[in-house]
Amino acid sequence: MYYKRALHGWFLTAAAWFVLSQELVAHPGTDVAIVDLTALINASPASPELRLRRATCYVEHQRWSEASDDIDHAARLSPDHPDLALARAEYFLARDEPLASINALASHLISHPGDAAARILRARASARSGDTLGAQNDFQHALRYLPEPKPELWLEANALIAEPVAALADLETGLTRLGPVPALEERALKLELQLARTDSALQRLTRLAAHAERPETYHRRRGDILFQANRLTEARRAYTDALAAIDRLPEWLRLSEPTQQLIAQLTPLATSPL
Amino acid sequence: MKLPSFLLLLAFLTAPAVHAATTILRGPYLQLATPTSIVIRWRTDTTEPSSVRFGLAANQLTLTAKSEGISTEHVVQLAKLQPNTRYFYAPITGNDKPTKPGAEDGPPSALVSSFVTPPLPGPAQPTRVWVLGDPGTKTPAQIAVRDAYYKFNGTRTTDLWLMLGDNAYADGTDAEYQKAVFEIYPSLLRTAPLWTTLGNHDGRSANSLTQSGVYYDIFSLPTMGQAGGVPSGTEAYYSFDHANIHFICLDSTDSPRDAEGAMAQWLRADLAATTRDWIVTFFHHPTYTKGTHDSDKDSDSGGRMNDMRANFVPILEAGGVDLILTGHSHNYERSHFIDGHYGKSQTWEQRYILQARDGRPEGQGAYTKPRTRTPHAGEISVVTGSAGHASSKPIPLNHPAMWISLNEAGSSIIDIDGLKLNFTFLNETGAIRDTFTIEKK
Repeated sequence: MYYKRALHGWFLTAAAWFVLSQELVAHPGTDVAIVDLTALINASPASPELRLRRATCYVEHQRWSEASDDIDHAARLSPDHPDLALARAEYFLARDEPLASINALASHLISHPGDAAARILRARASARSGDTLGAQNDFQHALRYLPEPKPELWLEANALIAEPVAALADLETGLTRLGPVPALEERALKLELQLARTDSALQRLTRLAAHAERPETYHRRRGDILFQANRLTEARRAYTDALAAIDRLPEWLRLSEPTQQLIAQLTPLATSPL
Repeated sequence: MKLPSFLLLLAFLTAPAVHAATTILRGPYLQLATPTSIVIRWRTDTTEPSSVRFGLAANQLTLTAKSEGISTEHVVQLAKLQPNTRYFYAPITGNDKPTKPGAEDGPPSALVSSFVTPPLPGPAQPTRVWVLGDPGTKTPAQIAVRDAYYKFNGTRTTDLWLMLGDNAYADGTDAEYQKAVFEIYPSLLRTAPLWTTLGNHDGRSANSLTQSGVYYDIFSLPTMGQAGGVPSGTEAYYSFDHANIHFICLDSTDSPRDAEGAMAQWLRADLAATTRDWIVTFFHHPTYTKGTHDSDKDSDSGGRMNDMRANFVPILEAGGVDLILTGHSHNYERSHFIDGHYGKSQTWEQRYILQARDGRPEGQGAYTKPRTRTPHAGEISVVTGSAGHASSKPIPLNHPAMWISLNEAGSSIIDIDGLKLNFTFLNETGAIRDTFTIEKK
């Protein structure tokens, strides 16, 4: 009897999946996705995954009580489901209740200390609650666990480091792991200038330019930095280098409107008396 | 029948055939092609070393490339290749003989496959690109779209192909990728490098922030500028060169889309760095659409279409982009030759159309652009998201930015020869339903 009921349920679910997958293929907006997921849940009421997926949609729509109901229901269906803690934590963070979000992840992170996604979530909740050290700690763990951390994640973690020298060291670590990513190098360059480390800033510009087939704008920036540092002879040389780089471009690029504008700006800078 | 017996029978009937010898379950497929290297990937049913034999003739596979360790997921890079050269190759399996995947469209005698390395970046060379948006439905429509292209293409080499996301429905799982990608396009996967972007359905089984999940496991994409362009540090967005074309892949699905974020900063640097003649960008969410999605609706797709239009189109246009390819809406919409529109369709004005003609040399004339990289010189935006199926319901298809809108299943073909770009939309029956040309002078 049990098997018969189970089999009947399986066919019902399969049939519903087939019909609804045709609709889901149209990947409608979140509001329509809720309708579709509701139909799937009706066909397969014992699925905690479907409840959690719908909860995510409700959270996106800020339909808090429905989201909470779905998470609670999923917990009753599968108390040890690995995604439950994350779903709760996301729900609380979306409601701007960071402490509740941190609590929701506490036991999960004891049993799953290497769950990078959970670490990131708790880091964000900690940052929101003002616990910068806690956030930094979780971000560092997440970055360590991830084989290929994304530039965005590195920058998010780095933004919590208030002290420029420490922030620079952290960015350097990121550049070593991720490669010469423009966003990391640009932030480091900004910090170098903030610390009046002109030569270090120039080295970063050189690294940025190394990956550009058109280095003229980097030479120009080099000139501007040197000019600001009152190193006028070197500045003029940098502007001259920019003009030389433009000269090496194919004609069709050299004659482009932005390049012509750049030439017009650079020429007096490269030739004016010191 | 009792349930356990039923399930056993079901498992037996649906399981892949098991042989004593190693069987290739997936691939081989080509990734990360550069003029001097290529990545070959495949999956076997047993754990074994990863080795490929290759050479300049099918009967002279005299070279071997290997990667460390043993696995069922094989990733081998062939290095020190000659640009623009045909190579033949075969994965080495357990019994040291090349084996053939069970492919529905593969020629039965194809034990050895071949590919042509991309030419050196810079000089022009005739290039054919096949573009598939939202293909992975596993439906007859997907097969028909594929077959229409194969017939159209004939024996000509497809230099590369792009998938614009939602490559495998409904959740981008590994099993769905197997059915919707690897079992649908096996012959092309073996012979032409595939470059992809993440769609919202792929995103259900992948996480861009942690760069984990099925999509990131399956594809090898450049993070360090190894195929051209500026290093992005992530497989979520990247660029590569082919001859005189610079391709840029953005992640509209799961990466932050703010105008000063890491992706936007990288895009600016990448656009400023390239000296290629053509810039083609692709991502999943369309910037202008009134198809199965509505780019005017803030709630549609979590605002991603608004973000891409407001934050990324200005950067692309300032960088001289020529073509923007997207999917997501399951239809075909091709814009006028436009520039400067970053709002919703209510704010559309005729002044955004830079050249009001059909773009057809045999009609009102091709679109023209100066070869000099001029910002805001105009681009065509194409929504080509019907490689899996078209909408079964009536859709508005009335975005004013569009020159033509069709609710038909199909795929797109880009042919670039020197300073001329020809674009074709081919429907599932093999009928050419739209063409346009951009010429640079």
